[in-house]
Amino acid sequence: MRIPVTFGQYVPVASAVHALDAKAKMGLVAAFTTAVFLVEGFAGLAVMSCFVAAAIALARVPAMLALRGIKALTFLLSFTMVANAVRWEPATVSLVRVGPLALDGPGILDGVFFASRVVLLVVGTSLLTLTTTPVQLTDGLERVMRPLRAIGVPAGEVAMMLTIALRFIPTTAQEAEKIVVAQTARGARFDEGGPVRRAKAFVPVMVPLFVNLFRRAEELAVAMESRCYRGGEGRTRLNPAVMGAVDWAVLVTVSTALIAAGIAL
Amino acid sequence: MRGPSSSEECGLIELHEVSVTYPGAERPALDHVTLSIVPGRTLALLGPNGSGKSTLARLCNALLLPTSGRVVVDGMSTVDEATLWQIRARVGFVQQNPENQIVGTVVEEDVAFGPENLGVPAHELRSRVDDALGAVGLTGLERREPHLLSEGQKQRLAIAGALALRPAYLVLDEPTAMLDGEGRSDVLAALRRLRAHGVGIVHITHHLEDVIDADAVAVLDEGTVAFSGTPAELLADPQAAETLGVEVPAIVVLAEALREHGVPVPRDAFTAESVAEAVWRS
Repeated sequence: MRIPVTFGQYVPVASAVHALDAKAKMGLVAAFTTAVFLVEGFAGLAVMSCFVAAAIALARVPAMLALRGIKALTFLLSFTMVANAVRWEPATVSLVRVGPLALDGPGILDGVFFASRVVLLVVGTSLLTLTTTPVQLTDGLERVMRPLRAIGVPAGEVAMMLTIALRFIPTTAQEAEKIVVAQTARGARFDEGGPVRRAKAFVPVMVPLFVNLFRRAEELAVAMESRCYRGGEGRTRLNPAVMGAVDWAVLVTVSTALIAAGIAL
Repeated sequence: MRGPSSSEECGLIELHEVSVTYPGAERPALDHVTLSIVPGRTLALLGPNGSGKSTLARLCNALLLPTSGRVVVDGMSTVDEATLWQIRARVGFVQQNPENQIVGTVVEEDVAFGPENLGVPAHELRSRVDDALGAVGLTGLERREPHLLSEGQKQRLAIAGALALRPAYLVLDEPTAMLDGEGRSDVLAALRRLRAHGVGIVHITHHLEDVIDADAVAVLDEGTVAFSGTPAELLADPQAAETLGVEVPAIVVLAEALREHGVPVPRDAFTAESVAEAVWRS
């Protein structure tokens, strides 16, 4: 029995954005975020929106997937709108007034502006996880975090932990499935009752699962030690993700353009 | 069944009067054991659960240090911190459950894990990975995710992971215990090829038929070496072997029965093929 396991939200298609090095994409996300915060007017937001739309098209990712993240933010967005649009006893002329509360014209514009900014940020940054595998992200993260080793952040070890976690997600999922089947055969029901009862039904699954995970961890530690693992120091890589000339060129030109647009508009 | 000499300079793992007592244990897990492991030869370790087999395995690559006695790998003592990583690189270690030994998210990355830890340069990593995968017959599966492999393939991947360190010795703790028939014979075939290439193998198992072609057999019992010799010597007296807790292979029992019925099956016929040939000739 093979359970198809996909994690994160990676969309496996071939595109120029997918081919870009993970570190370059991380740099671009940072530049994009900065630019979106620098922008002061709707003209700037329009330019940023065009950039995101172009990136989505170039990445050949379904637009619906890129926009999916907005749904989770509905509350935050509504709150941003209301908080900006409604004023308490304003001195200026207001559109609608209910007691001391008033709906304010420039306030609505502010609300739309801030909400659009959040939407742009969410959609723009989601392109990173949509076009980069978790393994590439982990490797990229290690490289980006490397300067932090100077202040004692164990970048290599953190990346190794993430890699191992990724490696054991499918294994653990398969094992969980096996235990569910075994408990079902013993009469356990996972599909009835309210949320509390359903959650409780998973206790007999979680206990053996965790016991097994601890045993696994111990054997894995022995295996890693036997294969000369002694921390991230001095390790080489079979497939080092190297920033090529194209990656650097894209990172530098696009970041510069984004920041310049952010400052100008 | 000794090495070229009992010299401690090179080409040998020597266990000399080794005892191990775990903290809080009443009796030692190993009690004055002396054994040597020679490149290009297979030493089979048999014995019931708790007889000290796994303890012995962990002594060979310094995962465990002896309470008394010495373990010397190619002239390097396992208690010497300075040569610890040289010893680990020279003695590969494979455990029973292949799943829990695989670190990489794809096959080739896992094989490269050991040499990556040693800081082997990238171009050499590639040839080590190719060699190791070739040696266990997994060439072509470089980009496969480990959870999509069969159990036998996973165990061969674990062996390849040890081989990528270019070890002189390979210690395997019940490597076939969790495998089906096909996976088991694939692993055994890979081990035979490695021996032919000069790797010294310690094969811990419950199944004598897995190691019937071993160069030497040691049976452990309650931490001591109860028998040391060749498989043929062990099976010369099947009753004695059984009292040591060794399960005599069915084919040997059959050969014995055939002999009693007057079929001339030679005493060194321990495989189905050789017994069948003897029957066919008679």
